[in-house]
Amino acid sequence: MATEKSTSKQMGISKEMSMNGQGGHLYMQTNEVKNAVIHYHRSANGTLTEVERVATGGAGSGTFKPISGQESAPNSFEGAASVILSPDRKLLFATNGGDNSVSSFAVGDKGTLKRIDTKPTGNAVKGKSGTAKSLAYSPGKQMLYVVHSFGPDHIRLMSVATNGKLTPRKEKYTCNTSDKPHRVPTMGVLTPDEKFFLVGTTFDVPIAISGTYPDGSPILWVNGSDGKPRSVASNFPDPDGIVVHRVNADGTLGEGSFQDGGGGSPFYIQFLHNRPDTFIVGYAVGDGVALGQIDEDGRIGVGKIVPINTRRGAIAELCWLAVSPDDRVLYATVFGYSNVSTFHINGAEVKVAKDPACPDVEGDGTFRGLCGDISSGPSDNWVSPDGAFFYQIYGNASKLVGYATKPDGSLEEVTSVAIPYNSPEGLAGF
Amino acid sequence: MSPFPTTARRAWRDSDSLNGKAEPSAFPLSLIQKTTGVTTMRKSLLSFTLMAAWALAGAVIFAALALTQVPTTPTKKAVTSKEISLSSYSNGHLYIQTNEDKNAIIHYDRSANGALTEVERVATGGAGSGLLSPIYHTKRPNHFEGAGSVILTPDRRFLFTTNGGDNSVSSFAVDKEGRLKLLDVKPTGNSTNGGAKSLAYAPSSRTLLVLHTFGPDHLRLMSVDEKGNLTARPEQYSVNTPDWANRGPTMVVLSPDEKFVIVGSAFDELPTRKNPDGSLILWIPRADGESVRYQTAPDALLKSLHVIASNAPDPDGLVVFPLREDGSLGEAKFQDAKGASPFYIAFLNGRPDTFIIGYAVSDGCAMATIDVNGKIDVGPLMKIDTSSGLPSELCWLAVSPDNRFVYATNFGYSDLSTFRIDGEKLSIANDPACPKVPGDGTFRAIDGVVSSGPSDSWLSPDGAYLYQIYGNASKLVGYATQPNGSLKEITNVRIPYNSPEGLAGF
Repeated sequence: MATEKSTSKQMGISKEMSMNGQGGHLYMQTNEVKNAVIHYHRSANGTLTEVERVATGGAGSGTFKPISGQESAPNSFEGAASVILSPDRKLLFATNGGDNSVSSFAVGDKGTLKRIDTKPTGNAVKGKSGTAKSLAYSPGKQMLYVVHSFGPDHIRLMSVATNGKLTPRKEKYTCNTSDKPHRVPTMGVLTPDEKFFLVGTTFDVPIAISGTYPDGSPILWVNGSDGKPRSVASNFPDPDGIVVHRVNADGTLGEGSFQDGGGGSPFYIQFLHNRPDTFIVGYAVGDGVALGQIDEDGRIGVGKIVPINTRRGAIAELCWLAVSPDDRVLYATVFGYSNVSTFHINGAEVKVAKDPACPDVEGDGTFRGLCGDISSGPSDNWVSPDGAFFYQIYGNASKLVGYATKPDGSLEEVTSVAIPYNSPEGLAGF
Repeated sequence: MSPFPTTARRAWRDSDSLNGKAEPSAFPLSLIQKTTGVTTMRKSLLSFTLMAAWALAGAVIFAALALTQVPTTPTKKAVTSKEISLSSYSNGHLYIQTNEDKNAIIHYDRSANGALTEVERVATGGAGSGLLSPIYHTKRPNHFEGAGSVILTPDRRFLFTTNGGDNSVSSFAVDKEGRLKLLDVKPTGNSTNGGAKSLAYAPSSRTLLVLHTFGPDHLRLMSVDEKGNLTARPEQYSVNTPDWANRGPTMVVLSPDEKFVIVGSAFDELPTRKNPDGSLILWIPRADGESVRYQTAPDALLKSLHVIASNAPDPDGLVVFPLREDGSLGEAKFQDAKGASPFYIAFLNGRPDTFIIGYAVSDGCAMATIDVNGKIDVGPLMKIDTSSGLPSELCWLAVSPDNRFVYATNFGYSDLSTFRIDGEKLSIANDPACPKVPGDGTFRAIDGVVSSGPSDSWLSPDGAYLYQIYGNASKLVGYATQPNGSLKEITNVRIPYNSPEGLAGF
C-alpha cells in the first residue's frame, strides 16, 4: 500500500513509485450549472491525474442546494450515486440535477468518455433547480432508475438502448406517504439479483420546507398534524424509512413497501459483494451503521445500529458507504465531522474499526453540518476494486482526496486534487 | 470569579508587581483600594506598618523557598495535593460550595505552588439542589446558569454562600487560617422552590444582594450585621419585562464604586422545553403561543419566533439598578449588551468604570463601560473559534490582576479561552488556552457536544493560578497561568459530581 503522500502534480515521480495497486479510472460530476464529468486516471500508487472534462449537456445545480435553499453548500441534493457505470464498464450515466436530466456516455478502452445522449427524466423543474440525484442500472432489464429529491414522483425510469441512448418512460413512483407529502429519498439501489429496488430516505420534511430560524440554523422539529413535535428526519421514529419495490419482469416497479430502516435517516444502502441478501445501512441521524438483510419476498430486517463516537455533536450525518472487495471493511463518510470512520465486518458482526479513520479535512469555514460543527462537507466516496485506495469528495474544501487503505481500517492520505467548490458529487470508477 | 478578588495579600503582591512583575497602576492607591475592596489597607499607619513588616517577612520566606523549589510561576510538573514538602507553604485559601442536598463549603488550602489540600467541609445548614438541575430537571453541571454563589467580604471576615435548593443564604466567619465557622442561615424570602445562585455584597450599607434563577422576584436583599448575622429584607426586584415573564438572569455584580447593581442574563425564557430527543427548544413564538406548524412554517410565523437567549436581539440583556445608600435599589434600566446572553460581568482592576462581558450565545467577550448615570456602552464583540459548534456557552470570566488577560470558561467546549486586554481593545490570546477536560460522557451542552461542563473559575490574587470547576468530570482543576495566556494544569482535586458551584478565595 502506498505510504507516501503525493499530488497529481507529482505524477512524473509517482509513476516511478512502487506499484501498489492496479490503477484505473475515476469519474466525478462537477454538478456545475454547465455540468461535466471529470475523468481522472488513477495511477497504481493511487494518485489522480485529470484526463478530461466532458460536458454532460445538462445542468447541475451549481453551488445552490435545493434541499435546504442555501445558495452555496456541499451535498446539494442529499443524495448518492449520481454517477454510475454499467457492470460491463461500457456505459457511464450521470444525473443533471439542475434540469432533471440524465446523460449517458460511452466508455472507451482507456476510460475516455464520449457523450451519447442527454434526456429529461420527465419531472418538471420547479424553482431554481431540479433534483435528479441517484441512479441504479439493471443491465438485465436495460433499465435506468432515477431518484429525485423532491416528489411526489421521486422515481422515474429510463430505457437504455444497447447503444446507450436513453428513453424516458412514463412510470412514476413516490416515497411519500399519506401523511408525509414532502419526503426526501436519498438513493436507489438494486438488489444484486435485481429482484428488488430499495430506496433510502433522509427527511420526512426537508429543511427547504421546515425552514430555518432567524439565525439561519435549520428547523429540525416541527409540529405534526396531531400537534406533537416531530423530527424532520425520516424513520425517526416512524418505521417507514426504507422503501422496497419489487422489480417486474419488464423493469417497472411494483408498489412500494415502506419498511423500518432501523434508525433515523437511513441514508445509504450498500450491498455486500459476496452476500447478495445482506446490506449495510448508513444512518445520517442514527449516527452509525447497521447490518440488514432482505428475504425473497422483499422483507427487510435490520440489526442494531453500531454507533460512531458523537461527542462532537449529534447529528453526525454519517451517510455515504463503501465496502472493501473482501467485505471486511466498511468506509463511512461523516458529513458533519469532515472525516471518514471505518468498521470491520465479520459475519453478522459489525464493529467500529477506526473512528475517525483519517484526520479532518478542513473546508473554508463557511458551512456547518446539522450538528453545528463547521465542516468541509464530505459526500460521495469510492473504493478501488483492489481495495487499496479510497477516494473522498470534500466539496467545501474543493478537494477530492485519495487515501491508501490500511489493514486496521485507518486511511492515509496519498493524493489530493482540486475540484469545483461545493457542487461536485458522484464517484464511480474501475 | 469573586467580585472581591483582592485582599491585603494582594496589596503586597502589588508592591511585588512594581518590582517588575507587572506594570505599575496609573490609578491612585486609594482608588485601587476602594475598587478592589482592600479596606484593611486604609485603616491606619500602624496596620500598614504591621502589614508591610509581615509582607516583608513573607517575601523573604517566599524568596528563600523559591531558591529551592517553590515556583511563583507555573511549574511544568503536575502537582498533587499530596506533594506537600515545600509547597506546603500556605499561599491562601479557596472555597467552593458542594451544592449537595446537604450543602457544604469545601475549604482548600492553596500551597505556594498552586496545589490544593482540603482543610475542612463545613455544612451551610441549607440545601443545595443536589442531583437535579432545577432549570433543566436533569442530572447535569451548572444547575442554575449562574455565577458568584460563594463570595468573601472585602475584609475577608465573612464568607457568604447561596443555598440554591431552599433559597437561603449562609454566612460564615473566616478566621486568620481561613477556617470557617457557620454564623447564620436565613431564607431569602422567595419561595423554597430554589434557585438562589448569585451574591454581591455592598460593604457601605452592609447589604447582601441575592439573585435567584426563578422570578418574578429575582433579586432579594439581606442585611448583614457586624457579627455576620443575616436579616432578610422585604424589597424584591425583577428582571422580567412585559414581554418575557420567565427570564433567566445569571449573576449580580456591584460597580466598584457601589453606585450601581448590574445583573447579567442568559435567557428571555428559561430553557425548560425539550424536543422528544431531549434537545432543547431554543426558538419559541413571541406571544401567540403557537409553534411552528407542520410543513407550513410560513415566513411570517418564522419571523415571529424568538430565540430563548436574552439580548438576541432585544436590547435588554443587562439590567442596571442604582444602589441607594440604604442598600435598596432604584428603578431598573434594561440596557443593550450588544450580544446574546450577556452571562458574566467582570470589572477590571483599577478601572472602576470598565468591565468585560462574557456572552454565552454570542460566543465571545466585549469590553464595556458604565458612566455616572449608569448608562452602559459596549465595545466590539471578540469571538472565539466556534468551529466545533454553537453556542459555545462562554460564560464565566476571571481577569488577571494586571488587567492583561481575561480567562473565559467555555461550558460547551470543556475548556477555557484567554483574551488579551490592551487598553480598550480585546483580542484572542489562546483559544483554547488548555486541553479539554473530559467528563463522564453523559452530558451534552446546547451545542450538542459532549462536555464536562466547566463553570465557575477563580484566579489567585497574584494571578499565578487559575482554578476551574469541571462539574461533570468531578474535578476542580488548578492551572499555572503562562505569560502568553495559556494554562498549564498543575493540580486537580476530586469534587462531588455535577453539583458544585461557586469559587472564592484569597
